[in-house]
Amino acid sequence: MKKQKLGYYEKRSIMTIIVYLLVYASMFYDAIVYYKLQEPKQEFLSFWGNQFLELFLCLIFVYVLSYFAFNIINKKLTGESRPKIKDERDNTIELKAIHIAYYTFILGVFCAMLSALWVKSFSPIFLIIMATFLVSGIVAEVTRIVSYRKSS
Amino acid sequence: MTQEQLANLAKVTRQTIAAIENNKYSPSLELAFKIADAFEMPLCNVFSYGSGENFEDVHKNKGGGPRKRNGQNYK
Repeated sequence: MKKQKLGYYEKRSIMTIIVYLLVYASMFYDAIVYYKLQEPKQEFLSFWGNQFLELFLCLIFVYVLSYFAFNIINKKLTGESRPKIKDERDNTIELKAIHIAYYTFILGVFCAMLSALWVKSFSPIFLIIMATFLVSGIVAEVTRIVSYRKSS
Repeated sequence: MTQEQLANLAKVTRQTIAAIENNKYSPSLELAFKIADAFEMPLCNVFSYGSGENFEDVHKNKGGGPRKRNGQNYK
């Protein structure tokens, strides 16, 4: 079977996975440091509120930045620019990815609630929800890559 | 007609045309009509449910469609 070259959207999905991993790694690192401290500077709830706010702002900022950087680098290396149109196949794949990510997220939230029931603490809820955001994001991107591979 | 030209006429990406040719993607009715319009042929001459002369053969007769494959959805 002839191997197809990676398309624009597939490469962008790989870039997005790398961005997710980097941003979430820094957030999880912060959480580990917080839990290791004997007397944390911040209160528990304010720490997690801050973490989630930081996470979303950081994700948006890094994603936009890397998106522009990716377009420039991709154009220079392959001569391929961003597709001008998004057709029905792209939309179908997008919808499929969102659909699967949605169910992954619901499963994650369900696991977070179960953990609260067993551990009777807030910590695992926040940790699992944060991990769920990461996993569902990665699942969406992987679905996108697999769908484009399958239909090319 | 090249894939790129057909893609421009049907307002989709070249990859979508390639996916339809390779039997990896079934187009919507709207896109099927647009492709038939681009070939200036009735829809039933370009696409059909089942086997037979396929989309690629029509595309080839118009000067495009480089490869042959087992068609399921296209005439």
